[in-house]
Amino acid sequence: MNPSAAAAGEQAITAQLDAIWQRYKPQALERLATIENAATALVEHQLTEELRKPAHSEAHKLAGTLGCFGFAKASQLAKKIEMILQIHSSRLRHEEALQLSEHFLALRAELVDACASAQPDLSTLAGAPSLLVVSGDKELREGMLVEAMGWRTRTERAADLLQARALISAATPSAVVFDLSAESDAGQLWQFLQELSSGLPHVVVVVICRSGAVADRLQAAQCGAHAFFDYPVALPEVLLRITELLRCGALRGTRVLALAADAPLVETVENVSRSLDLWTAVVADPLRLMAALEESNPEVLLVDAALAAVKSVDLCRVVRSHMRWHSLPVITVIAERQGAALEGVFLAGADDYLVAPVSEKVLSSCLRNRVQRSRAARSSNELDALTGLATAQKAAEVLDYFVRLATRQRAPLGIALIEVDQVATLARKHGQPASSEVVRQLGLRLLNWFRKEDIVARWGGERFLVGMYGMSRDTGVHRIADLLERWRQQVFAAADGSKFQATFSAGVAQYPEDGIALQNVLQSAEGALLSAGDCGGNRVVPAGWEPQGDQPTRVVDVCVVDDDEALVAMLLPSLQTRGYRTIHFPDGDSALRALMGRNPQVSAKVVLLDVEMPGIDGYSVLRSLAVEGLLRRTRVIMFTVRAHESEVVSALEDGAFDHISKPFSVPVLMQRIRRAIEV
Amino acid sequence: MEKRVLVIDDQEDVRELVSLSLKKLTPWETLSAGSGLEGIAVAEAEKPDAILLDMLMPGMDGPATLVALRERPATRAIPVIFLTGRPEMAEAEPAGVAGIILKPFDLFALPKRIAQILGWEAAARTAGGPMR
Repeated sequence: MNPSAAAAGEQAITAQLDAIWQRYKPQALERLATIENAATALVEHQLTEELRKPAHSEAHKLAGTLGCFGFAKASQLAKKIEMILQIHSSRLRHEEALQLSEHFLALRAELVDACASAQPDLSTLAGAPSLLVVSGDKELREGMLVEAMGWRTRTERAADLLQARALISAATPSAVVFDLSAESDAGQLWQFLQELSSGLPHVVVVVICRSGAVADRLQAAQCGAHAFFDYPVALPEVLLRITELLRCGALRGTRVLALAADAPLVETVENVSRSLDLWTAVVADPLRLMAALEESNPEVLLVDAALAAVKSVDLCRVVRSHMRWHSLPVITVIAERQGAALEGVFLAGADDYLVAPVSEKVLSSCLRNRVQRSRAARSSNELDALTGLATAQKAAEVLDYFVRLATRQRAPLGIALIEVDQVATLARKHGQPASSEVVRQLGLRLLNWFRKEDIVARWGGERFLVGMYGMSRDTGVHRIADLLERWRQQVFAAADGSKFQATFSAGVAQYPEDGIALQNVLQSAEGALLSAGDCGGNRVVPAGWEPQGDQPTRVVDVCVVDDDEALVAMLLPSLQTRGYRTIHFPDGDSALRALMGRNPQVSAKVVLLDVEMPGIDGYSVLRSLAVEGLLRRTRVIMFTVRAHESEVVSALEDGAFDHISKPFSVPVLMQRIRRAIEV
Repeated sequence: MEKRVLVIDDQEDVRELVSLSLKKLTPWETLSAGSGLEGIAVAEAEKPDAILLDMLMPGMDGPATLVALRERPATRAIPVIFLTGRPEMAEAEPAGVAGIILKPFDLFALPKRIAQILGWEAAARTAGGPMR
């Protein structure tokens, strides 16, 4: 089979895989339910062979197929479950029960994600940017292949233009690198480049030149090359440049504001928006334009000249004269290509025009051109070169805007500063490139972790800033802590091949509660970040947070009373990650001694209380706390066992704030704790 | 004549995934069977060029099916590749099979892997291999 057919085949597989997954999804969920029964039974010491065997078999099946669908992580989790469930039920211990619940909950989360997403994550296979390297030099071809792997970019290689042509016609690459020495007849290359740039204008073209001649550089630029390098060249630089160029080109998520009322035009805009995955807002009332601009903060504005009330020319003028919007690209849709109308449009400051009726193809290429140009102009001072995030300068601009919006809308604005822990140590131990990679990866994770409307910026060095409009301080803490828990799992490779992991710390503040001006809020966030660092880092803390002091009465956020050491070992780090001060007692007696009395040793906001413990049980502890009057300032969450519903009811009657039945998901428990502390 | 590959697996999704991969990336024909017994019948009737055989199936499992295939003159010489989720099986190199393919497999690399095990001329070009 020739390369073009194979590439087409791969595309066809990717396209059909989702349809097949949709069909087998219900079956996968049923398999999950069988595993859940076994997991629950095991925790309750009621696992029989009749429950274990089918669960083992289902886990085996899930492990075998989920990976084929592109859900690698879910497949691994199913494999872990299969390994546990292959042990005879009589020999499964409590340790395994906990592990099983954890794996099960993680698998369920993955599958829920997988079911929610229309397309399985095949980014490493099919959706990733692809690169074509055209070079007669094998070493350069192989070098690019290896380098591109580090950038999650697939690489095809061609030794000459003929091969290149075949590969490009089979599957359009995102970017092409031409090594000029490869082509003895430079004329052929120029012609090829010209064809490429006119036929496939969105493909990024980079030329590496060995002659050092300025003429070649000029010729390449004229033929549509986007970047030019002299040989010998640092390959990472080439990749970095390509990534930047691709980012400028990617329209996905571009914010577009359309001022239009005409139904066919609105429909065209919506269709284009859907097919290019844009964020589009449509306003029909010209008088709402300024408000809509503020709300949607667009990168490009589309104005239908046919709107009756106000002339589009006037609208353009209004936009152009506004300080914030004077450089916003404006595209006008006019009814007919008449000289006078056109002149007026351009005089008023529109950048481009389209003639109605507008076809989807024309609209999308027009949007692409405009956005690419304006991004290229901005990217040099708005995007950080290492991480591709916004620069501090750009972030400050956006934050100013958020502050104004928050003031007007009376909405909270969460601001977080996040820093990789002990970057200097990482660099010393694993080398500078590896530590830079950690910083770069954290940037990427942050960008993907937050909503599109949040701003994620490199604030300098290994420090990042996230501005979360509409998100409170506490929500921010939890959101980032969830990321921290995942981030700890990530493994990095040092130059010598050794593997290592990294952590980060964060401080979160809220406008206007933690400062009357942006500067003060940033200081509060920084103060929190420094406190987190003082306690060894690896945690997320809110502004105003203080480490546990040595006061006679120790004030803690969460007191855990449970004899299950494995569970406690899992719980305490999760709590500390979220900045909670914690204390743990293995039984009810010691907990009561510390919590009760006129001058108690410990004062806790929330007590997590297990029911079954040696000595006095959880219900008795609860009643003692209630009699003592402690439940007025301390909220108790009971860890119950599912079967004993009547006891749950009586616990709630006795004054427990909430209960959660084992096995529970840690994220769910964290939510409950948060609610208990906040209310 | 183009190769014909029979996949014997009790899981319908696996059969469908294998057949999707082979159909799109190779000119081979894919046959499928949902159990060891059905597989033996199809193999006898159709005489495929290779059999992909799931090891863990209810009723007649992979190894039992293999024994039965080897006992029948019509199917004795057909090369068999085990499909299994157990990496340790790949190391054990069970006798009587041409090779092992681990589940989950990479749909994009599956044809190449089959061709490689059976010494067939590489019929498919694969992508994404080094990225996994």
